[in-house]
Amino acid sequence: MRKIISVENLTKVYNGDVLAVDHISFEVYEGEIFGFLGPNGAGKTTTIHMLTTLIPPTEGDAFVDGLSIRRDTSAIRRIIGLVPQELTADDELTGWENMMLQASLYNMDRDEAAKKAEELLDMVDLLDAKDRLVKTYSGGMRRRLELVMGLIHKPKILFLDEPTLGLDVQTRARIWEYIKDLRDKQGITIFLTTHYMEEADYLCDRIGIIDRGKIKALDTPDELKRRIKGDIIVIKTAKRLSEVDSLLKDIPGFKDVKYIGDKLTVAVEKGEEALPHIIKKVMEQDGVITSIEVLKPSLEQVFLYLTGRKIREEEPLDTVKTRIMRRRMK
Amino acid sequence: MKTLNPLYTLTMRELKKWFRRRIAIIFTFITPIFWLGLFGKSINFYNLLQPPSSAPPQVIQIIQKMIDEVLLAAFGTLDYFSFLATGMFSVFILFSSMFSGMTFIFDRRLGFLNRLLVSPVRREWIYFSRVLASIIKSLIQLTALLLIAVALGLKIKEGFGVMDLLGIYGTLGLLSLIFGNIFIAISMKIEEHETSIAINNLLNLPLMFASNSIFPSSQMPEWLRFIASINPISHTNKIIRSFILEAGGAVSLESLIYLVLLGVFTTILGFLLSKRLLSHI
Repeated sequence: MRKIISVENLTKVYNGDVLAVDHISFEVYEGEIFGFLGPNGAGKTTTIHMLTTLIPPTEGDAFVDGLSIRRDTSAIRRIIGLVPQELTADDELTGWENMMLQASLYNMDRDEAAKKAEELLDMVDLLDAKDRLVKTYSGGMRRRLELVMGLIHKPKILFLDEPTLGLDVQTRARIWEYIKDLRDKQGITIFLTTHYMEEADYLCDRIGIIDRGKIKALDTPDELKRRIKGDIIVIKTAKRLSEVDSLLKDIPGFKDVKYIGDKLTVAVEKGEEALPHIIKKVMEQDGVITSIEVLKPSLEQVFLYLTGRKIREEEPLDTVKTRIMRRRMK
Repeated sequence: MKTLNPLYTLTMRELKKWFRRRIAIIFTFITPIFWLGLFGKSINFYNLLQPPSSAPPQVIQIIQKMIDEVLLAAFGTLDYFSFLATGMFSVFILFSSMFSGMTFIFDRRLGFLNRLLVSPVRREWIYFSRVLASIIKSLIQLTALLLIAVALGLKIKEGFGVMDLLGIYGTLGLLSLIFGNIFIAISMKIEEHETSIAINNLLNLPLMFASNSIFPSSQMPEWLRFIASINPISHTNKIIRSFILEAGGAVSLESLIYLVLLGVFTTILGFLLSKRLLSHI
């Protein structure tokens, strides 16, 4: 596969001492959905801003379709699309006006732009709302508009910065389908950032886990999960068992066992294979099992394992401020 | 093939947004109406300087003639309202230009500017679209103000023609270019709209008073006259009064050249600054 983005020692220092991105190097292949997973403030947006030429790097360089982000800024701008984290469509214009304004920034032909805008708005079910002012749109509608605004000029690479931030589950699932379709049907390479585990897991071909400006791991979601080496079996019994350590230490692939609350939690290499043995042992102790659950490793656990921290799900601070400002401007 | 032109669409964006805020537009006319209607109409030098009615008719005639001459020499008209109105058009251009930079600050804060910066659109067009929109807005407002001023009693010279009218629009358009450039260029680097409002409040009244808008600069102290003489508002007023007032005299070539040079200078400055300040976030 062809490398479409290659990043070499990319570094960003703000105000001389805030190290936002710390010498990262990685590659993105043509036609893949590549994701940066990390908590807020990990350096995801800063990386996107550097790759999309919005801010210059302090050190290192990156090549987008062979073009340097230091030297070839205007050539890069022609082939990329950016869907920013904030809602940045002009809410005092209609959806259609926003699309055409966006098209004009790329000097598109008027008829071609109109055709493309109609097709894209139709794709995200906004065609009926195209002549309404954007300030009358719901949050989900605005997100969908943001998405297609980044696509009007048919970019080779689409950058999505937290594409489903603050959306409800159904809207999020819909946006995911659009993103998948873009890659599957149109072959657009997608670079996205997220702090939602399920999003990274469901969408991305490969994930870079980023924390405090550094890439902690980079692999397919399945490979990352395999690194945790093993499954967790959670058993609820009617009566608390004693000496579970000596009871279970002989089962195949045994790693660890402990009570968390009233739940017996067993870490093993392969859950399915260990399960019959565990059940047998517990039954031998006259234990009555009320429920049993095999947990496959999740990215949540991977992140915890790699960084020793949990990803907190929190809204960026500025959304509140932005909302107040928007209201004031009306 | 008809290509979409970003300079056009970006200018139209500003104008559409302006036009859709109908209430705000109505408010932009309230300040001028107050100035012209309340201030302009409350001060009447002609009535103030009346000869004593007890004097013999010949003396009254002589005194009246002297008063007229003094007023004409100072104001170029016997009617102070006409003097003030012709001086206030430029002030209103200043007021409206001051706020044209505000959209830049909001675009930066709301992230719309990033949308422009991440595209290959020419950086100077992001800037000039706003200057252009500011000039168009100013000239549309000017049309309404001219009508309001005439309705309130602005006395226009005899033989006022199309060329005079075009002259008025051209001169005030030039002033609007100068102020648009200055205030929009400043706003490219400002991040808080409070800062912009503070700058505007700091500059608006001094720029008006240190000019010949309300009083002729001839009776000002030396230092103030100097400030008035470099203030583009003064030069604009001089030209506007030549076009409108009976005794306004010929259009001052010196003032016109000054305004043209200032227009060219601020345009070049704005162009260079936009290249520099809009290369990255």
